[in-house]
Amino acid sequence: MSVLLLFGTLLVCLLIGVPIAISLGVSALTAIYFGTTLPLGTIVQKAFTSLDSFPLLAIPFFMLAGILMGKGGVSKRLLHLATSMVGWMTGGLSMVTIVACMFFAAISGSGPATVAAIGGFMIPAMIAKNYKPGFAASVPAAAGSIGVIIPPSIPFVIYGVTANVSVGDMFIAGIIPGMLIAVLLMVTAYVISVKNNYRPEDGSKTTGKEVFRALNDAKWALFIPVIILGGIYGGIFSPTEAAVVSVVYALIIGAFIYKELTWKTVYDSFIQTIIINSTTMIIICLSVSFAHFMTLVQLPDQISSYLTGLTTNPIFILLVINLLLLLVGMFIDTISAVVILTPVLLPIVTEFGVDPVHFGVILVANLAIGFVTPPVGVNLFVASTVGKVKFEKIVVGVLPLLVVMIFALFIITYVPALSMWLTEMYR
Amino acid sequence: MAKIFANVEKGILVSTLVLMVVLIFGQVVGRYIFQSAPSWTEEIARYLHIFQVWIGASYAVKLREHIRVDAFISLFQGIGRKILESISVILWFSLVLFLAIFGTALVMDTISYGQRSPAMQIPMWLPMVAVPIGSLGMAVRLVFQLIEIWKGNYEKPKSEGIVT
Amino acid sequence: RPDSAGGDSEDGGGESYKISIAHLVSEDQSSHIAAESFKEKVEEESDGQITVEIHPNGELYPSDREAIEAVQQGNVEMTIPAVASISSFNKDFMVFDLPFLFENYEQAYQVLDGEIGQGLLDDLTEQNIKGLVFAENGFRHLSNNEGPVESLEDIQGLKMRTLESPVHTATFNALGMNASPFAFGELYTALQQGTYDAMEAPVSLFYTNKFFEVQDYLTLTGHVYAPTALLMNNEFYESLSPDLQELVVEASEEYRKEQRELARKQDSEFLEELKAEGMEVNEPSDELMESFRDEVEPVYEEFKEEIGADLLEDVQNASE
Ligand code: NA
Ligand code: NA
Repeated sequence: MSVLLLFGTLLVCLLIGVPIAISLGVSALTAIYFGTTLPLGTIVQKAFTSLDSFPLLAIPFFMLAGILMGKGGVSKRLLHLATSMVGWMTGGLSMVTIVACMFFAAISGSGPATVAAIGGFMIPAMIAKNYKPGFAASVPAAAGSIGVIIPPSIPFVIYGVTANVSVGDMFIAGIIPGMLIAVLLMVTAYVISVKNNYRPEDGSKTTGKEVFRALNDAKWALFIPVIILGGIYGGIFSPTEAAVVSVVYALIIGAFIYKELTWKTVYDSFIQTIIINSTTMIIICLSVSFAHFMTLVQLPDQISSYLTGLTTNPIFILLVINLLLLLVGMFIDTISAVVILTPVLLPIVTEFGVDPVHFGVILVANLAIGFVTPPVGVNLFVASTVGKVKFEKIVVGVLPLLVVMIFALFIITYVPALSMWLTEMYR
Repeated sequence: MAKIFANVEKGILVSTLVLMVVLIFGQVVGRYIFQSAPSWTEEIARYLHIFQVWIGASYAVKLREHIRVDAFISLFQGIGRKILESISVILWFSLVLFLAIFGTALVMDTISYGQRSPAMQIPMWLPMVAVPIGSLGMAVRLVFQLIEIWKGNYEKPKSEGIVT
Repeated sequence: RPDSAGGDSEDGGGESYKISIAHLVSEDQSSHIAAESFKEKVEEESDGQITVEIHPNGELYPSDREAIEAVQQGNVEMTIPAVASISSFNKDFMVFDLPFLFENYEQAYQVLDGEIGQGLLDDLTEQNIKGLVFAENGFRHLSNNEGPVESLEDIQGLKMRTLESPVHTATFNALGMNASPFAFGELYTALQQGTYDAMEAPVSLFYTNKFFEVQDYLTLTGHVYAPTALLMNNEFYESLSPDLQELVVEASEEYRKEQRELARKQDSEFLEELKAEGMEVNEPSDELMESFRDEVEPVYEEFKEEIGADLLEDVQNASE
C-alpha cells in the first residue's frame, strides 16, 4: 500500500512538472504520512545529513574547474588539440569525449563531476559541429558513468565492505568491464555519427605541423590531467582535493598565462557552478529520503523473497536481478542502493554459485547505468545544465547509448571471466 | 530593493564557494608545506556547502533552474496549463513549508540539547539552520512564481538566466 | 494517517511497541550478534508486546552521529554508537578520547560499569536519550605503511588519519605525526594511494573494513579503549510500563555481557586473521609505551578544562 503510494505520487508529480527533487520529497512525505506511522522528522534530518559528506564536495569543485577551464581558454586549447588529432574522423569529437570521460571519471570516481568537467566544453563543441544536442549531451553523460566501474571507485569500497570481499579484488575486477563499456560506447557513437554524417566540412587530415602547433599551444592546459592523475595516483591528494587543486590551477593559467579570465567571468563561473550544483545536490539529498523510506518498509526484503520463490534457474535469476537493479537505478542514487541491496541480493546469487566479486561488478555496473536512466539520472541533469540542452532531449538522445550499456551489462553478467580473469591472476 | 537583495544573496553564495576552495587548498598546502593541517577545514567546508546548496536552491527557484520534466504539461495551453502549473507549485510549496517547519523544530531541539560539531565544537544548530532558511526562501519565491504563472510566464527569465 | 505503531494489541495485553535498532557494523560483528540476542529476549519475555527490528551496516543512518541524532529526535528507537561520537552531544564523554586512559579491560569496566559510567549515562536523559549500558569496540591500535613501529622516530612525520575528534588529532600531533581527520568513506582509497600513511582503529575495524589490504604494519599501541553504548529514545523508554522497562534494562545488561565476551574473542580471532592476511603485527616495548605516555602529557593539560578536571580526576582515581 505505502509502496504504491510512494511510486504513484512520484509519477503524478513528475508528470505535472514538479521538479524531480521535489517530486522525490513529496512522494516520500506522502507515503510516510498516509501509509505508515513512522515519524516525519526523518525527512528533514536526512535533508541535512545526506549533504554532510566530504567526498560529495568533489562534484562542485570539478564543476567549477570545468567551467573555469571553459572560460579561461584551457578547454579551447585542449579541444583544438583533440580536433587536430582526430577531428577529421567521422564522429571524432564524440570519441574524444568518451576517452576523456573514461580517464577523468576513472580518477575522480564521480560520474556527475566528470560530466560537469568534460561535458562543460565538449557538449557545446559538438553542438557547434552540428551534432544533435540530445546526442552531444548524452555522450559525456553515458561515458561519465563508467567512472564507478574503473578504479578507484567509492561504490566498490562500500560493496567490498558490505559483502565482505576484498576491495582490491573489486578494483581489479572492474577494469575490463569498464573498458568494455567504453569501447562499446565508442562503437555506437561512431555508428551514430556515420548515420548522421557528423564530419568536418573539408574532411581533410591535419598535418603533423598543425598537430604540433596545437600541442605547443595547449602545453599548460595539458598539465591539468597530469596534476589530477599524478596527484591522485601519486598519493599527493584525495580526489576531492585534486578537484580543488585543478580549480586553482585553472584560475592561474586562465588569468595569468592565457589572460582570458576577468573578474566578471570568474564571478559568473562561480554563480553558474552554484546553480548547477544546488539543483543537482537537492536531488541527491531528497533521493536519500526516498531510499531511506524503502529500507524502513523493508521493500528490498520483500522483493528478495519474491525473487527466490520465482525460479531456480541461475541464468533466469540473474536476468530478473538485473532487471530489478535497473529499475532501482532509475530512482535511487548508487551508494544508497549498494548499501541497501547488497545484503539482500548477495545471499541469493551465491546460492547459485555466483562469485561475490563478479556480483559486485554486476551490481555496480547496473547502478552506473542508473546514472543515465530517467527520472533520477544525475548525469543527465548535469549534462542538461552544463550543456544547455533540454532534459527531455537528452533522454531521447541517450537511448541508443543506454541500450548498448545494457547490452554490455548482460555480457558482463553472463561472461564472469571478464570480471574474474584479472582478479584470479592477481590473487 | 529586490535587486539589492538578489545581489547580496549572490554575494553570499559566491563567498561560500570561494571559502571552500581556499580552505581545501589550504589543507593540501598545510599538509605538505607546513607538515600539519588544521582539523576543522573539512568540517567548515562541508557546512559551507550545505548552506550554499540550500540557499542556492532558493535562488534557483527565481531563475527557474530546478530540473523538471515539462514534456507533458507543455501539451496544455491557457487555463489548463495555468491550473497544472499551479498544482505543481502548490505541491512544491507544501514540501518546502514542511521542511521549513520541521527544520525549525529540529534546530530548536538541537539548541536545547546542545549538540556540538565534532571538529570545531560549534553548536550544531548553526549548520542545520541552512535547511529551514533555504526552504523558507524557496517558499517565498514560489509565491511570486505562482503570480508569474497566472500572468502566463512559464519559461526561464531571459535576462537573469545564467550565461555560459 | 494510520493508527500508531500497534495501538492496542488484539490479545488485550496492553500497548504494543516496535523498537528499531540502527547500527553501523556488519552482521557478523559482535555488536550485531549480541543485538540479536537482545531482540530474542525482549520479544520472547514481553510476550510479543515488543517487536524488535535490527538495521545493520548503517543502512538507515550511515554515521553514528546521525543515528544518535535520530534516536534523540525519536526517528528511530535505538542505536549502538561508538562513545567517541556521543561527545558531540555531551562533552563529558570526551574523557574517553584521552590517550592511555585505561591500561587494561578491567580498569575500563570498573569505570564504565561503576558509579562514574552510570552517572554519565544518566546525564544523557537531558539530551532525551536513555543510556542503557556500555559495551565495546575494544582497544584502538596504530597501523601504517612505512614499517614496524619500534621507536618514536618511526612514526614521526607520517601522514596520520584521525577521527574527527580534537583530542585524537592533538594526541597524534603530540607524538610528532602529521595528523588530520579525514572522511571515512574515502579512507581506503586514500591509504591505498598514499595520501595518508597511517590510521588507527580497533582490531575488528581493520578486519571487517578490509584496511589490512592497504596497511602493512599494525602496532598494538592500545592507545584508546573505545567503548560503545546502547542508547534508546528517552520518551520511548518512559512510555514503557515499569515491567517492560525492567525487561529492557535486564536485556541490556545481558547484551553488555555477551557483547564484551564476543568482542574480546573476535579481537583475538581477527588479529590472527590480520596476520594471516599478511599484516605484520608488533607489540611496542615498555620503554616505547612509556615515551608515548610522556609525549601525550600536554594533551591532558590542553583538554582538562573542557572535559572537566573533576571528572578526569574521578576517572583516573577509579581506574587505578
Ligand atoms: Na573510478
Ligand atoms: Na537513474
